[in-house]
Amino acid sequence: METAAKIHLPPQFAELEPFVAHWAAADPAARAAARDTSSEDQRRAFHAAMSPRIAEVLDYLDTKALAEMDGGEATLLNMALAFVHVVLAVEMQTDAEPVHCAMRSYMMITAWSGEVWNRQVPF
Amino acid sequence: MSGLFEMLEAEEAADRFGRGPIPAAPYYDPAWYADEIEAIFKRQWLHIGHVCEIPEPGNFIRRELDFAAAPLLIVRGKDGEVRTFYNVCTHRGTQLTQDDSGKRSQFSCPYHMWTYGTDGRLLSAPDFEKFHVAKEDCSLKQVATQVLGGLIFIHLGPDPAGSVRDQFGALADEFDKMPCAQAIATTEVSYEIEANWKVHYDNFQENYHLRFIHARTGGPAIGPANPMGYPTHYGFNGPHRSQTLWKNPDPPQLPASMMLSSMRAAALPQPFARDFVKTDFKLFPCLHVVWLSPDTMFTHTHMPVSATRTRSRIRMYWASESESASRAFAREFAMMSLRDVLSEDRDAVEAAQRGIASGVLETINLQDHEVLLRHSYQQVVARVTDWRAARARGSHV
Repeated sequence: METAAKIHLPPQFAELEPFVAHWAAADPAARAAARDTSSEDQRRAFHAAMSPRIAEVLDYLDTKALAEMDGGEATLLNMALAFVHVVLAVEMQTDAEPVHCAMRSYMMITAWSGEVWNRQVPF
Repeated sequence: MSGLFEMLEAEEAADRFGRGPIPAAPYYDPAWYADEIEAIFKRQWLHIGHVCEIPEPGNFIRRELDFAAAPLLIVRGKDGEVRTFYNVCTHRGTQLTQDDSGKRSQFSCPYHMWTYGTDGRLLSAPDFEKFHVAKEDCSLKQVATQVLGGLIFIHLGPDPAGSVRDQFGALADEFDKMPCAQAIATTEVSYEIEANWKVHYDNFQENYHLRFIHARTGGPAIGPANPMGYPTHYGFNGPHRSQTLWKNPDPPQLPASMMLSSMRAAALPQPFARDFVKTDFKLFPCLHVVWLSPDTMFTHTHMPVSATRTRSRIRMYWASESESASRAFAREFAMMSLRDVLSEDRDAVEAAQRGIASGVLETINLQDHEVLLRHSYQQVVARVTDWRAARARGSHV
């Protein structure tokens, strides 16, 4: 088994590796928590880094079968999914994000579809 | 939608269902609430789960219905049937399990090891001959259970007069066409809110709070030609309601990544594309069914906890495992966008409840575009009134 410390993103996305530790969370509740526990600076930095690359990231990942992704690809997908949460914060909630975070915290994510790409990835 | 509901413009609907204030007490009064439980919640089929939560024989989920103090186990039997039992051992009442879900070939009471099959029958009990009762009289107490479009409904009444299909009439067939009918997984958001179930449900029965409460997320729903974002028509079918949203001819442009997410989702193959009908069922008493786009369908179910507290679950239904990264991305975007929008209502709904429950107001005011709230209220009043009359005659059950 690979460990989180040894996982590397596919080389063309290596510049995104500084964001792995906070954002590559392996289920939707954990990704929501990553949003909730982030600072505005963290969200802005992740948004700025991912926005120009997200189409390319998805195009690349779409060439892979979800169940056969290696650790780096699964990590990249988890980051793409975390980007969804950050887009909502940065582009939609904007300056209301702190107030919204308080209301959102009551809305617990209690079930989700099995994420086959995460079955091999330890976190 | 027009064939399923009688669609009326706001003025026509007001002509039909009335104008002016309505009493405030039903929205907080504990005595009224207690009668609602008897008159409505113990006499209706209630949505409680989905078959994909118990895919295999022996799978079970546990649900607590606070309003009836009913601890339930929903179990798929060895024969494939979905049944609901009270989570109560027939020996001395001990709850059989505290697990939220799981898989068992049988249920053994931890206290004295009375053991039941997945069909609820008592299989064995130590020294059973000393009880001097028949095993067949010791089955777990069962609750009427039916499945419609993959959704599991239960009925707490002793002898339901009609089926869940009867309860939804012509709308029942629509469930069979939606993603829930084929769903293999759901994404679920659960929450409690300090609000009467009607105060909370009513939030989803009018649109003109969007302008104020959803200033950031509700932009596409309003425009210069319709600054309050009023629906164009309101729909009525027996106790159930619907609405036709106004289509903004010139919606504001989405920010860049929001736009990309939306386009990614639209570009994917859509399994329900041919059957897709934009759907917004506001079903009596407490089930909101929304089919937003071919792959995006959700239910929002509200269960009373007390006169001023409600437990709700939002479930989005997936008819297949995600087959690609873009599908997973589109689904994450659909569910999290919905969660974001629905999170915005919380403070306003709870503030409304606190104000109403202060008892300062004898009435609350509804305008013509709040006719779905009025209709909902009238459906509740009719049933509580009938129940109270039956109780006065001594003929209630």
